[in-house]
Amino acid sequence: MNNDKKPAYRERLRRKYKYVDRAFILFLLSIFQFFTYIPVIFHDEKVFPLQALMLVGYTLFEWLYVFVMHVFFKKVNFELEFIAFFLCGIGLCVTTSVNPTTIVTQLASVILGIIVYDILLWFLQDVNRVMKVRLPLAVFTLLFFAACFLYIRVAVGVKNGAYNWLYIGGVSIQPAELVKIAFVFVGAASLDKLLTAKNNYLYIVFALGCIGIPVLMRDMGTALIFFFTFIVIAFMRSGDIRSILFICAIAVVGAVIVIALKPYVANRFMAYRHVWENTDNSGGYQQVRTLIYCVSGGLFGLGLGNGKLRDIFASTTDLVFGVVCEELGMIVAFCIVICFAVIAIYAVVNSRSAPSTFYSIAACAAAAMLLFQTSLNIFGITDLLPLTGVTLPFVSQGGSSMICSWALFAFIKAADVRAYPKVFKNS
Amino acid sequence: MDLIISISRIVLPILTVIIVTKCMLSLLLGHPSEKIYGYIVDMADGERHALGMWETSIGRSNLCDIVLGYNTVSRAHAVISRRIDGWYIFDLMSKSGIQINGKKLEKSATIQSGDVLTIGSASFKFLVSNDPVQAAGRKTGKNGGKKQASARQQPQRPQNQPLSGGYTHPDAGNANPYMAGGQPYKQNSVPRTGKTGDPAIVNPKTGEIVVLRGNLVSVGRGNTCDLRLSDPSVSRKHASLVLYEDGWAIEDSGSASGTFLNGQKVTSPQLLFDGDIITLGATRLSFRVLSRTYD
Amino acid sequence: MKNITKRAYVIYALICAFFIGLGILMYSFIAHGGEWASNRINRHVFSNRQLTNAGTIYDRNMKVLAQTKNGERIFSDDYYTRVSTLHVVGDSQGYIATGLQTLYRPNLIGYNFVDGVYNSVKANDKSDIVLTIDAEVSKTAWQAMNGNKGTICAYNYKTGEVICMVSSPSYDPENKPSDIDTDTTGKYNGIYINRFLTGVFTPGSTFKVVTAICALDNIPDVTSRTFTCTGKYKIGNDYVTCNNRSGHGKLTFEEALNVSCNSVFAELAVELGNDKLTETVRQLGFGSSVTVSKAQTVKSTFDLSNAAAIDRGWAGIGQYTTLVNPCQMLMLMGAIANNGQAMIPYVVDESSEIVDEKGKVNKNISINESTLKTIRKMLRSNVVNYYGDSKFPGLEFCGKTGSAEVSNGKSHAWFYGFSMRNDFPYAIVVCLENGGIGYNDAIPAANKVLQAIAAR
Repeated sequence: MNNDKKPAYRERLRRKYKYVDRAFILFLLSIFQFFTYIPVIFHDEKVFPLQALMLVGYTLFEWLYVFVMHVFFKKVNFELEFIAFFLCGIGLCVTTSVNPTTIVTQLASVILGIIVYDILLWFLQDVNRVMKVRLPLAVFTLLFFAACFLYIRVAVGVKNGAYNWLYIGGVSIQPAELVKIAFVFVGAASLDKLLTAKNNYLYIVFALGCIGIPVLMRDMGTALIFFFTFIVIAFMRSGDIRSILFICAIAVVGAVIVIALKPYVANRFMAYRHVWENTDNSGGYQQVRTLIYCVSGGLFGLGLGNGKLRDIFASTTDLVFGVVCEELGMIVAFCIVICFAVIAIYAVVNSRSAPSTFYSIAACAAAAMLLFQTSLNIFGITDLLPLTGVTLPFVSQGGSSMICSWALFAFIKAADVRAYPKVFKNS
Repeated sequence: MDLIISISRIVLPILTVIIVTKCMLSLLLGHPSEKIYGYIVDMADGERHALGMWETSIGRSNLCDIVLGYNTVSRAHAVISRRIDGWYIFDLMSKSGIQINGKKLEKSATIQSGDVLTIGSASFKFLVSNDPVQAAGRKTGKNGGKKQASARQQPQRPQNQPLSGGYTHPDAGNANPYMAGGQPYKQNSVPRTGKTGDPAIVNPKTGEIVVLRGNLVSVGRGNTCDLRLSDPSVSRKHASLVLYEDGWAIEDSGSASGTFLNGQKVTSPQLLFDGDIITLGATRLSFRVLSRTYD
Repeated sequence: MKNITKRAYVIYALICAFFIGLGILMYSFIAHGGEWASNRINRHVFSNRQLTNAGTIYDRNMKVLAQTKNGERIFSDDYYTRVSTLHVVGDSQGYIATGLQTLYRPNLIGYNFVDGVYNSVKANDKSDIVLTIDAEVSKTAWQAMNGNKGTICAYNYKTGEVICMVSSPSYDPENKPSDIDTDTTGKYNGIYINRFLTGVFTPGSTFKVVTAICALDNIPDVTSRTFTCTGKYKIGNDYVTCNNRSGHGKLTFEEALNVSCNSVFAELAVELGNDKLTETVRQLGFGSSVTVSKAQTVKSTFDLSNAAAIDRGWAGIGQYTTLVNPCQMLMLMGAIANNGQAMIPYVVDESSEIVDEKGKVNKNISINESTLKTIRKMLRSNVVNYYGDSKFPGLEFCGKTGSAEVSNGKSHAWFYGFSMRNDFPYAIVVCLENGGIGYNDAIPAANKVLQAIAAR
């Protein structure tokens, strides 16, 4: 009796929540964005027409995208896209409100991100095709990453204490962000590949390269993200806890050696858990102000544009969580970061019905990477973790980070057969 | 402006919560429920292994999705994979290889419902229920669409019917390894009473199933044995199955050729687990816990 | 595939860690929000680390003591009001740790967890504070101190509301002396300290009230005894000198307290012993501290653990190592006046936060009932028979003076007491550091303040 009831209940739930009402959510999104646009367009007793045009254009683009995808590609599920639209919208507003001229590049990178997302999603639909490009992609990525590093080292130099910025035609790019996409892509593999080829070693070599180069770039945050994602992928591939612990032990030893040899690394984390004693030096300056202005905003915020954290260095990149907390309130800010946790849960519960192990691993790795990056960001600036200077996916300013976040969402989306309504009509 | 701010202070959090909750619920609850796409049916004992995922690994190892207790099967032997253009089988460089309808498999191949897969020495029938992917495969038309007709007629709960009666292979008579094997399915000749969970000895070669009763079952060529084997390489009184507190165990009864459990010589009583392979001379038996009821 | 997807559950570890992290973050936002938001770095309410954007502080007659105007923090427009209420109101830089502008900063900036500092930024009036302090009485008290260092505090012993709390030295917050941090003459010593809350002084004769309570508790016939004072109380070769060198002669217990005879109280202290004295001192709350509108008072010290008999004699008359906090002394008087119930003083009458310190009883002070009656009678007799009722016209006052000798040959002038009039339930403590004799200097100051209160 009970056994009969349960699946029926589950099935009813599934039908009920199969997809969200697209027009309704788009409508809510538009209202939300309307309220966030106004203080951005009208502030300091001035009007910003270009910004107004672009922001309204962004909202219209959302409607258009969903319309086109639904009508021409028969897609019905847009939950991930809606979350991404929502986060990007907030990011756009905060960035534009702090620095109105950045809207052009920021909006361009959002749209570029969406294009990358759809291309990647299309590409991922056939596992056979995906399996063919893994090896060449791995080789290309390593070479590209190494070349970027050498080029930056020789020709560009340090920016903000790290060698991770590349300039092409006036646009700055963080190569590490693009490598993240390939890192997940190469790491995941379908079941037959996993069980036959003993390609774990090849993967470890690839991962070592991807983790090592950010270390040389002095970009500890990115190195940590790669390392963590590597652990997740390696565990999902092999299930070998002993090796994973061994790798972690080696990593800890390596970190200790690095700190012993390069004291400046340790100095950067000196103020960790002591920020209130370092309110006016680089050790705790940003964290203390983030905490103060986070609580100043309360649950509902002071209103976009009324914050004070926006005047602090890196307010639209590393500290953007603090700015959102202060100006839009803790409810909005916490909802933003909880999104990433829920997406990670989604990736796990959905992994069993994914069309291949490749999708399961890629989705879990991508979701874990996003959540880990989010954790490093928000707990770093609030002094629960050492400050490593990583961005908050989708919300922080930065083109490469935006494209990478969209691409990682493509991996998560691809694991859900609902992403391909034309291919899996009745699944 | 102040008015906008004071309205938006309330409106924005509410909208955020609605948007995020709606999307989250759909993500977490609306994903497709698990579903069985097809089966592989063990032609020796009729056991059905469900294919409930897009990729299913098959092998002797417990880590595989379908664990086969034949020692001709490699630890990780094969992967059956449901892809958008049809079903595939991959040989994971197994020792004994895979045959599809009697043809040796190189590395991978597409398979159709009704194909007979010989994994190691064991044969399985691959059955797919009404599956859109299979339909897609037919559309691309690699092997023609004839076979699927029978696949759709495949009853949903065939375990209630004898396999040999309920299913007719379209190519019966020439390429059916089931018949070519020359061993009819002897369901009628074995003890017919048995419930799910009962321990039994299965002869994969003949398909004979003996449900273990009492607390001692002797095995051998002799007339007095409870389980008689007609193999000349088996001693008269070869081995015994003894019920211990922990379950059934096997011990050698001083046989000439020895008793082997999963390839290991039995010198002292060894507990038996589901899927264990018992070798007596040239005869291989499998210890199974019945997964369905015979009546 | 089953196995591999099962391994995905490791991600739940990350998710759990993430939610724990969020929980900790939320908890610390709730727990430290007020403290963080009222940090001087917060430019919503501070500029150049001075409090600028905060609610108004009113006295009990709604006279403005401090307010924000055009982004600047300004204080009362009267010099004496500014100086006399400085230690209660506090400065804008936070040097005065017990000032309300420091302790009530989260309230003053209108902080609450739900709205953050929104109220303050939008200049809502939710962040104002009304005090129980009377600016006029404070002014009188400041003037009555006559430039001496020290403190005067008067409060309603039935409710606990403080009418005036003045600490000297003080300065004008609108015009802070430039030499305040560089001065070496000592005129600004402890200028940032509210002496009433966090100062400790040698109690001198005022402590005889404690010794008397101990004697009443422990020596049943003490009230019927007769003592003889020869000008000295000797133990072996050591002696305690009396304030009257030629001796008071024959005295009853009550007379001994009237004339504040050292010999008698030293004798009683020696007779009572270390344990009983220490126990009484503990029962009267001297070892504990209280919270006066969020400000923690300091504990008084009374330690006889290594004391010889003669030390005990000195301790019995408020010398030796004993140091008392004026607030504690005021609460002792409050307890005697209010049938053993010592109300804890408070200065904040209304604020955005619910003021829960109002009308709280100090549970650390307990006096038994018969002792209470006798000691009240004796304190009244001090005024009637010795100081003279004319010192406190119309107030039916009870009290005890003290002139505590300190090492440099000067003495602190003390007076503490209370009115027995039902319609005038006020207790007062006056402590003038190196200010002379209790009778000569402290009593007139106390009377001026009390008359000012009565005249309101």
